[in-house]
Amino acid sequence: MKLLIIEDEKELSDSICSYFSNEKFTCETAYDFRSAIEKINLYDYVAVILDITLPHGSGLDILKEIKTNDKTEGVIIISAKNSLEDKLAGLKTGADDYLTKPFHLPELGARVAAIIRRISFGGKNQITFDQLILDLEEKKLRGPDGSIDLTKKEYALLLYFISNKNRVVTKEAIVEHLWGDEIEMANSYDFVYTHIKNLRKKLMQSGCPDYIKVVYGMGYNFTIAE
Amino acid sequence: MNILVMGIVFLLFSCSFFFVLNFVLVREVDKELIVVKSKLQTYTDQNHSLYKDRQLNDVQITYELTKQQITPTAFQLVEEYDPKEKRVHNFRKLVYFLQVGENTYKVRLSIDLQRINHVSRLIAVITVLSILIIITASLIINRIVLRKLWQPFYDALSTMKNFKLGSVQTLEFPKTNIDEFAFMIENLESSTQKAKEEYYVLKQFTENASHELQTPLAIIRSKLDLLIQDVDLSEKQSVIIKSAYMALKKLSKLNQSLLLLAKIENQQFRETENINLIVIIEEKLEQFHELWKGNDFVVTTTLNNNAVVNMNSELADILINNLLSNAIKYNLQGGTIKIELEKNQLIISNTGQPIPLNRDRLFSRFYKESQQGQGIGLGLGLFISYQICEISGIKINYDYKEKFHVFTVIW
Repeated sequence: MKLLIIEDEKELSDSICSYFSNEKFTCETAYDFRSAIEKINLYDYVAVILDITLPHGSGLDILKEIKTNDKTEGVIIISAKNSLEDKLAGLKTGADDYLTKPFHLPELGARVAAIIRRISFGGKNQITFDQLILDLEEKKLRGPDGSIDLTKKEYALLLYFISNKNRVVTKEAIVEHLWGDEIEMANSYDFVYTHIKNLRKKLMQSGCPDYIKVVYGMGYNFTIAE
Repeated sequence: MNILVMGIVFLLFSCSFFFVLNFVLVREVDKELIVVKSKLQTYTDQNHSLYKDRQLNDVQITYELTKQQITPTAFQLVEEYDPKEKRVHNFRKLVYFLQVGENTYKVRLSIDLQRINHVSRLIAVITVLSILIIITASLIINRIVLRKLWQPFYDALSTMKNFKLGSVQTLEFPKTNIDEFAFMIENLESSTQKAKEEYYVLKQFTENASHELQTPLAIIRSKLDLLIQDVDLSEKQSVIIKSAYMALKKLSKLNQSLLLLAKIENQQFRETENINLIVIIEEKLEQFHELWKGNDFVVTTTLNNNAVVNMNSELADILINNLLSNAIKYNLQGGTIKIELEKNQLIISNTGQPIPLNRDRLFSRFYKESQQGQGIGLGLGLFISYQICEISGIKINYDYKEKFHVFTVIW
């Protein structure tokens, strides 16, 4: 699947590219308005990551271009501007999501995965990961031994992990995803650990291998163990 | 003050006027006496005898044969009983010696001063009264006229007094026909306009700088996110990266806070609505639920479901978030948090360090009591809360009661 990253800061663009590059995704980049418009008109992508504060033209115009040409790309706006008005303007113009800088790459990962699910597979209602089948409509999980009961947070956590599989994700990123970044954390994220522990227990009790690998001092990696 | 001085001067003037008037009139009387004296002298010289009448021109004449030594002519002011009026009057007397033949006579010429005194008193009173009336009238007229004249000046001054640099309202200066004031007002308008523009540019700069920081922060974070994907990281490297992450988060939060402050001061949260705080609080309660359990907090809530305040909804959310976060962050393990929501106030209390916070500096920028590594306090949280309250027209207080740090918001 092809991703288009429209961001004038080359470093950031590179980071995003690196993060998404794996068997599933290939990334293309555009650093300014003109090349972005060109690429949009020449190629099809599954999703576009768009910075609206572009030089020589507003990112919102590119968004309008995508929408008027009846293209099916999902668009997520990344922007330094985080006022309510900017968010509303972006979503009203047709973006599927809005993420403010600075963000965690796994957060972008989760959002892009959500957009792709919604759009290219017509809101596909099932994701498969190794022995797990996640029903998105019912929000239910099925393992090798049958269905597994998950709390709301555990479900969101699992979805986050799957969207960022094979990537190391920090505890901070998880907390921000599940509880929003409004929460000024106290001294520890121990309660996150509890959720992860519970999720892991449930998965393993239903016959799955341990997918949640602890990366010491950093966070977690959701991966099919070797 | 002025009036006191004027009063004293006026009093002194009145007194001296009276005396001067008196003096002048008495001098006139004296001249009269001298005229009579010289007439008598002429008569005596011509006729070698004394003038027969005892009165000449209002002057009474008395002769006394005397063997006294001749003393120089003298004027006297005497009080005597006047048989005609049956009262004591003032008389002006001229006493001198007249030689007629071989006899020496002591001649006394006297004039009744009563009428003259009376007249001079009358003159004095009328004059003084007139002056008094004139002065009073002119003072009053002055005051009225001047007040109207200077009204534009005072109005302009009071407009300037209400001038606030960050406010968006344009100043309304009074209209006036007086050139000097019009000139002054013109200058005031242009100066304040210029000050406002420069201030706005500065504000924009702060906001733009903040925005500019977001992108490098995003880049750093993304690089760190990539760095940790490397499976070959040593423990030492992990620790270093973790440290970098923490610092970056702090920097991000700081930038966000500064941006928020700039926006608040820029009046970007001007829209207000009636908000029932119980909605926000219940939302936060659910969000923070995990943290409380994790830290073994005891949380008690008393919520009135009709606590409505008129303010900006985003700011209300941030305010309550700040207060609750602080209650968590600066609390002890197993501590207590009390949330009381009443119709017109919100009270959030928490246990914490046993020393009360410095009430005067508590709400200023970057205030931090040294904690034992509790939380990632930036010191801006309370300042932001304070600013939000200021701009929303509500009050926020701190108190330390019964081992609880108590924050109260009143509207």
